[in-house]
Amino acid sequence: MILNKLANKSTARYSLVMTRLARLRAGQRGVIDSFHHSHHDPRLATRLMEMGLTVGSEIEVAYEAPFGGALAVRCRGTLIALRLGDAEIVEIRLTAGADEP
Amino acid sequence: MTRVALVGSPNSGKTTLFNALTGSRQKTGNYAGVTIEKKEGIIELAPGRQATLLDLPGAYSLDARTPDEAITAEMVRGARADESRPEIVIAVADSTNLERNLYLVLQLKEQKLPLVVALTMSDLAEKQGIEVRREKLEQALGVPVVVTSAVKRRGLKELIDEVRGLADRGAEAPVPGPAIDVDNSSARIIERYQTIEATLKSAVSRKQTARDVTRAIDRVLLHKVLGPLILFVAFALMFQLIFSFAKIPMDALAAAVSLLQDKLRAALPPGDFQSLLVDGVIAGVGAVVVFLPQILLLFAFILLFEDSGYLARAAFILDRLMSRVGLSGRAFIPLLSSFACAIPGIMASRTVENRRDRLITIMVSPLMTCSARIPVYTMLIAAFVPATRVFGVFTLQGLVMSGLYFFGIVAALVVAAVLKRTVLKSGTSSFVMELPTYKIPSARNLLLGLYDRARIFLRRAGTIILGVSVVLWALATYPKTEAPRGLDDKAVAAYRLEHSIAGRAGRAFEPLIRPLGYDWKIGVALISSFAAREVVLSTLGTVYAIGYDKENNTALVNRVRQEKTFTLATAVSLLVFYALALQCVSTIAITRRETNSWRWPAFMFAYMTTLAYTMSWLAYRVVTFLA
Repeated sequence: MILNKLANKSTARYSLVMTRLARLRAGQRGVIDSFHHSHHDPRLATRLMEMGLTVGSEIEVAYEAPFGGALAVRCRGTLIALRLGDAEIVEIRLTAGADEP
Repeated sequence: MTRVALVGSPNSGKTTLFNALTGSRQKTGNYAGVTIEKKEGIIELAPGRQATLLDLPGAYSLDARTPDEAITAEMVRGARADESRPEIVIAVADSTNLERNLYLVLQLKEQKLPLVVALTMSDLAEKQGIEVRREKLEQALGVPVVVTSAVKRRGLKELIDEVRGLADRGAEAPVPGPAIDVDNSSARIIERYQTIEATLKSAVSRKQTARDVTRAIDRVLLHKVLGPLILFVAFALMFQLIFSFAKIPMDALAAAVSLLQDKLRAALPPGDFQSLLVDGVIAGVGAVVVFLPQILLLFAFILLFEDSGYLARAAFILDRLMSRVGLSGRAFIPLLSSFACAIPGIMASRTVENRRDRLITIMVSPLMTCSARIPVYTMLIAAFVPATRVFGVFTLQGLVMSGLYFFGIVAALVVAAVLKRTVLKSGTSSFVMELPTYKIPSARNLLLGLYDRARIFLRRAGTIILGVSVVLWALATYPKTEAPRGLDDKAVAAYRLEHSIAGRAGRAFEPLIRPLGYDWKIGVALISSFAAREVVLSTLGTVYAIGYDKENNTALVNRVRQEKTFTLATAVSLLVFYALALQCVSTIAITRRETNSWRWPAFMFAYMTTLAYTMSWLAYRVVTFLA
């Protein structure tokens, strides 16, 4: 939560606030910084990159799954659903918070 | 003949383009060793000059993650032993989503096969204010590009012309041989996307348009509260419609089957041949064919949900539930299909990425209430559940029916959870899936899809069910015994069945099924329905000597009510047994093909029979105790 608040206050486009994609709430945006290793699926990072989630691209959490557990993110104009466990491997540099228009 | 392959991401409009190019000149088969549907069609490059068009399974990348993608990658790279490499590739890319779709196009280009890019859904792109400059795109990609719209039938001729041009050049200089490895280092992936960004910058402009329709719909359908609610209502409505609508054609079909039986009985001289044809072939095949309307209606809904883009959302909404039992959200689609029939359900499991998760999905699919169980449920419910109203709107019978559906779902989820923790142990599975933009489903796709399903279903009825019906007829007819004098026709039939091989087997079987509350007559029915559960009603009809009438089963219902040994406890036990047992030869066959071993169908049969036996015994005990 503190991270999110910090990010909301930050107006800089390239903030230094880092977090994981899994921790973003609907409406929050960021830039993909790097990928961590996924223990349950070693090829996950590659597939995410192939689906357009490349390092440096902008990403926005569009929806949280109604029962939780998953996110739908928008990246390169495509909506992609992924589990929180999978989103946990994506390191994000926050750019905007949910409170901004 | 020249072989041309259509390659594209899922939801890229590939199948629609395939249907538009080939029309009804298609045939479906399977790739050797896997049950992945292989679709081929014929296209005419010039008058009298034909080519084969292959519709390869949708893939996001040539670095395959699913069995589906593996087929596509192997085909494109010429790595399959049973299939030669296509000479020409049509790369399909959705005009409204080029940034993502060009990725596969670039990978295909790296394979150095003669390539033409078909941009699909150009009509939609125009509506959304996306302008694609074809020449610029061609220049940037270095391959021919054709703008098409299958709905408006635009660009199809140009596409064929490009393919012919490539074929002509191929005849002069044959296609290069060895496959090229797919380089998937992150540097390479980023490089591809940089190429795409540069390409789009020069070739595509996007005017600011009215609000994105997909976003507007998603705000409602993926809403935290409304989303699940709409999902529930949509599926409840679907089942309601399937059962009320399908009843009309089903009754008509059933009447047609009885009419045919009567006509044949009147036209043919009585004897073994008449009996084989009327009571064996037509009764057996007819009992199954009657379900065609219901199965087609269910498929129509699934195809519509899938084509519109809603099915992927449903998987996203229900993912939490699926992950609780250890399945991927993608498993939702096969499980939903299993409500029609476990066979398409098991076939749909190939979109599940993780091999163990896929096996779990296959193992539990037959527990979902398929349409073959409906007649059994209907008969037993009509016989033992009073038609009282509950809360004014529901009937008790309807509620018991829904309860049985719920029972099937719970059984499937529990077994999945157990398998995930024992036999098919694996860690958390991932779930990554594109949620496509909403589209209006194409009527052509729907009709061709239904036609395909109907053909597969009828072929099954004409082979497996036909064979089983004949065998069962023989078992229930021979050896022939003289019935005592003074019995009427129906009693003679019952007497003969009792002394036939099936009847004797039923008696031999009795001690084994006694604990479940069944007598030898139900035993005969169980034996006959081990191949296909829907056969049980006609067998019971014969055992109880009432001449089973398919138009309405009141006669059977009344007869069952009178039977002393047929108590409420027996009925409940039988319902539980039919809900849990694997009584379907086709399911065993498809599982064998899909898993490529006898181990999994054997395991499936063993666990389901054990489960059915134990639970039925338990149900019988509990109900006897309570009553």
